Amino acid sequence: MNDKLLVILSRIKTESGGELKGEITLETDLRQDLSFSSLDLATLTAEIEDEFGVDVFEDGFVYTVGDILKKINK
Amino acid sequence: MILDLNRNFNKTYDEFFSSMAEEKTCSNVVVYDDFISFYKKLILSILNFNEVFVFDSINERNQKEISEITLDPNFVGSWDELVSKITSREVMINLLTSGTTGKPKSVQQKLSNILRFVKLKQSSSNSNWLFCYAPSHIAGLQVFFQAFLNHSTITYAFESSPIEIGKVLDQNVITNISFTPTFFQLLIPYLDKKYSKVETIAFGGERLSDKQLISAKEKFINAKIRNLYAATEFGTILSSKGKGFQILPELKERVKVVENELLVHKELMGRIGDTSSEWYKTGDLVEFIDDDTFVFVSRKSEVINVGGYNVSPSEIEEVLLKLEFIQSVKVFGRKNTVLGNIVACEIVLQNNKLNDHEELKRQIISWCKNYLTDWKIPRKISFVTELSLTKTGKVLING
Repeated sequence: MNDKLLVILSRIKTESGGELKGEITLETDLRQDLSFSSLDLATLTAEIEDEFGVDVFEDGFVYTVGDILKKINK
Repeated sequence: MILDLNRNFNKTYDEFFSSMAEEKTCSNVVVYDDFISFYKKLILSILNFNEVFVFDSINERNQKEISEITLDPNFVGSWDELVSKITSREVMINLLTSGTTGKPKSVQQKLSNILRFVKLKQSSSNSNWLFCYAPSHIAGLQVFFQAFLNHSTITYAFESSPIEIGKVLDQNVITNISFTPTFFQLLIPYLDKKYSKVETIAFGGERLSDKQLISAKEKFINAKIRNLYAATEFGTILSSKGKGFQILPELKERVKVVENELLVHKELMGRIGDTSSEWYKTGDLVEFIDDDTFVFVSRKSEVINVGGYNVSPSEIEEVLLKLEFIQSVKVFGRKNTVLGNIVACEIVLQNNKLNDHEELKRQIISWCKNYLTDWKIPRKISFVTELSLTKTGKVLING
């Protein structure tokens, strides 16, 4: 699991008034498991773009942490 | 007296007048080099050509064709004759806009429009104007002629550092100041005292925030503060003592608000290309606070669409500026594949302190949640040492 990505996910959750709970795996769903709103996803896109230089939503939706990692590691 | 603070150079009005009378030629193209020389050339051009072109630099002049004429040694005449000639000449002046939201464009204005609100008053010869606008743009021309035609002292400070300007203000000789809100904002850290001799402050060129207005009242304790609404395309058309504006009675038929956008009749306009429309859309959005008074909300082009919600950057800037550790801020939209745009901001901290930025971001977001709906809360916060400015001293909106 990419530590920088975990930090980003945690920060977004904290800023929206929540907390990252439980283990984060490749199958963790951003909406179902982490309760990310559209705004959270929009922020996530921007943060990942700044950190990794990749717009993970450019080619379509991503659903899980694993989907994000695939795009980052391409 | 005309003083160029940056170059430590000055001329009395007699010297300025004599140097104009000594010129052998003048041209219809005036390029800015230094303050005193520029206005000498501009006045000569106004007196001798029906159309004058003004540029900030040689690069901008490009291929503009120059016409030059030989001057009659006695053409200037007396001071009163000079004032009379300038105020009665039918001259078209071609100027560049400030380029706040894009590439500067050329606008043609009648000299009489530029001089529209210049008042000739005998008492003004004792005034000392702190001149803080770009000399070759419309605001600069308006301030120059207001001071010059009244024989007031002009202290040119646009190119000077805030430290130098602070020192001049400390001498307590300045009576009138004209600047953009951003220019004033950058000065604030260097204003240690209360400046009792300043009689008038005129803000223009940008939206004036509540915080800036309060700071101005605190520093310039005896000053009448005016907030001017003007553009290169139509000059000054509105004035206000605070944030609320009213359309001047004499302009009521030529300025109106339609669907919250300020429109100006082509009679007030300079020539900017397509003049087929009777009304010019300024792109400035307003909100009425009573039947006659409105405040500016934002530029239409600045409105950020976040997932279908329209967000005004100025509303967010006002909220952020309430935080004591923030000196200045620029809010803008950042393109986003999920929502179209998200709200982003660049922040200059007070005294540019090195702080725990992550902790500050948490405080900022927490603060914003008290005042703003989710869509309006900045999702991307950057700390910068200074905001990008245009060459006329305004915050660059799309930079």
